[in-house]
Amino acid sequence: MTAGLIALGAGLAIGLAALATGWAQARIGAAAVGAILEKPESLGTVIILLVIPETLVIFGFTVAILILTTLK
Amino acid sequence: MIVPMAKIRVLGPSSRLSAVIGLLQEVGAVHIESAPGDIRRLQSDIPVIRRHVPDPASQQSRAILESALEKVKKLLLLLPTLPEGRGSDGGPALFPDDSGEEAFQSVNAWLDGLAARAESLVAELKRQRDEQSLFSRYDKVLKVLSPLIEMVRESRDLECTGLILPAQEQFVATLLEEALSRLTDGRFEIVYREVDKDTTAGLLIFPGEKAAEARALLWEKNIGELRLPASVADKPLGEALEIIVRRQAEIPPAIRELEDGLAAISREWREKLLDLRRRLGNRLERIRASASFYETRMVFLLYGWIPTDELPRLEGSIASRFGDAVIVDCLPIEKSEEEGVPVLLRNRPAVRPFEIFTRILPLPRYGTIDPTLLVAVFFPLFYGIIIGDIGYGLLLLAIATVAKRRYGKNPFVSDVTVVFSWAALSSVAWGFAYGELFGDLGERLGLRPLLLRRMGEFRSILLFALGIGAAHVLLGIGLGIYTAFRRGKKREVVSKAAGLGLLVAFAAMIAGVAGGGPPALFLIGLAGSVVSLVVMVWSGGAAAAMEAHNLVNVLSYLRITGIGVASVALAYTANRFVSLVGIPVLGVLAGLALHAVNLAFCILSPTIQALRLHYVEFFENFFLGGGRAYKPFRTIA
Repeated sequence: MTAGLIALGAGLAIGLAALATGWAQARIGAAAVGAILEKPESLGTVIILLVIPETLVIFGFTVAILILTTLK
Repeated sequence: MIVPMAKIRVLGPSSRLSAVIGLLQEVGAVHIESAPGDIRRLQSDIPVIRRHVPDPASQQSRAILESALEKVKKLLLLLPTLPEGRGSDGGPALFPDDSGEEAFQSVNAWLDGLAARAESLVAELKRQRDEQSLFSRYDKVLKVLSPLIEMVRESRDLECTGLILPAQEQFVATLLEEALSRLTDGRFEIVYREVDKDTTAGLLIFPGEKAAEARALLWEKNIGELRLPASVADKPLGEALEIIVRRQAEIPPAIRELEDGLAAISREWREKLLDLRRRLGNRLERIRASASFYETRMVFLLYGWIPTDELPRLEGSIASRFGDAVIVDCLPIEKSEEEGVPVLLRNRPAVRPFEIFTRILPLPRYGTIDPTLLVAVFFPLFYGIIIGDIGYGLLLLAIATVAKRRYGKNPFVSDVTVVFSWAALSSVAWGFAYGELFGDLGERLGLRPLLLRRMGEFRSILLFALGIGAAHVLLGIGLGIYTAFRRGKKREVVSKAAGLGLLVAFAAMIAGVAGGGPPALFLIGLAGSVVSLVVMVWSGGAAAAMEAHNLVNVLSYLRITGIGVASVALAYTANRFVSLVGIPVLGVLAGLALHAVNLAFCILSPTIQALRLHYVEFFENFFLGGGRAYKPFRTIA
């Protein structure tokens, strides 16, 4: 039971963070395509903006690892 | 690196102005300053200094040259490009030896004549192609209707018209037939033939005296009558289709003849026109450059920038051509004008390919740091740490080598392959550190990690990533302090130094709490953090406290671990497919497929993540964009 809850917690930590990242990237990506079409030289800036939300899932991943390794 | 620039002033007698401009273009290293700050100071002392204004004759000749250049450009657009070596480059050049106005006028007149010939051929070619394209749309319908028309062509009292029925409107045919039967007392005939699965063509034959009513009926029932091209619209259907068939046979030879005509002109003149374009462009550049010169009644004056290593060449050329008559002075660059100094990046051949990552950013300002060398060091390092697999690294190296051999002539592809070759080698090296070859395949073959094992030692690799992050961010802050110091921004130096102190103090606090050091370390770290924050706000206001975001930036380096573990987990899963699937062949195939997917991720994801760490976390501490590009005045190749 405890192991199951730990696994659920870790899964939620990374899963919810991944959802949030996906949602943010979808919105940024849609705007980014428009921006690149109008101004191709903005590619560099757009890539930076696009990958910024990935920090969320990285933190989710870290929390998941900590849950799994600390609460074992 | 950013090439050091020298600020120069060229001074000489007005009579030599034109020759000096020619020499500067030949040397091709001087970025001419069109609005130098020094000139204003000089003008306040010597009011007679004014910007050089070309005389009316020069202005007239500029207009003639511009008109000729436009005509040449237009002609080059009209004439087809021939395979290399097919053009004729014999005979005299089109650029006149005599640089007088009359000579250029006659070149202009000759260009007009050639343009008229080429334009008429191009216009006729376009007309023929348009007609061919228009007629080609009738191909399918023609093939279906022609035999039917043959059957009715002899009947003078009958009229016929073509119909087009889309598949979804076939039901209208029955309604039409009923209505036509009432209109003509049954004296009509419709023959249908399928054109394709979406369209049916029909030929409607009816008495000539009922033509108007029959057409009105078609319109009323919304049935598409076959619309013929405008050129044959007034002809009876049979005759029109005959003309179309005949023209379809005549057009291709006519097109070939016109294309041959254009190719002949291109063969004879294209090379010469290209040469003329280059020479006219160079002459115009010289005239335009003269507008950036200043002069008094007797002397001319020019300000500009030149890479310091090119300065001796310029001085030598000027001395050998003009002796002491023209002087090149090297002037000190003042702090206030440093940001306006043109920027030229020059990196060693091994580092230059990494400019593909820095070129998508704005040009760095003069006096700051060109990050290309840093990217060349850290990009392959981060990439290798993320992939960390001997097998994937070797495969990537093979892909990069093949791509370079096949498409290496393209400079961009060549740079990309060099970058990924370094990244692949780094992946192999880190593969040994982690003991990974296609995931745990190496371990099964007896390979042991030299540094740590990624699957399992999660806390170690998290701390490892944080350590790399802290080192990278600290280096960035250090470079930021250096840049601010070089630019004379004292407060920024203090603010960034406080940011660096905050990072170190925070690390001490964590070490104190986590038990990595004596308990007093926590208190020291806490005190250090408070002091750093106060200094930060004092030196740069509340906004300077944003420097504290470097703490979050360090955490962002955890992505190195995240992406790496995801990649190795996929490789482990692929290796377990054989035992999971049960059927060895199927398991091996599925495993190989997953390894291939992982390899594709390996190319894309670590690249983006490693670049992001550079662009966002690293560069923001020291990189200052907005540099002015170095554009030397040189001959057009």
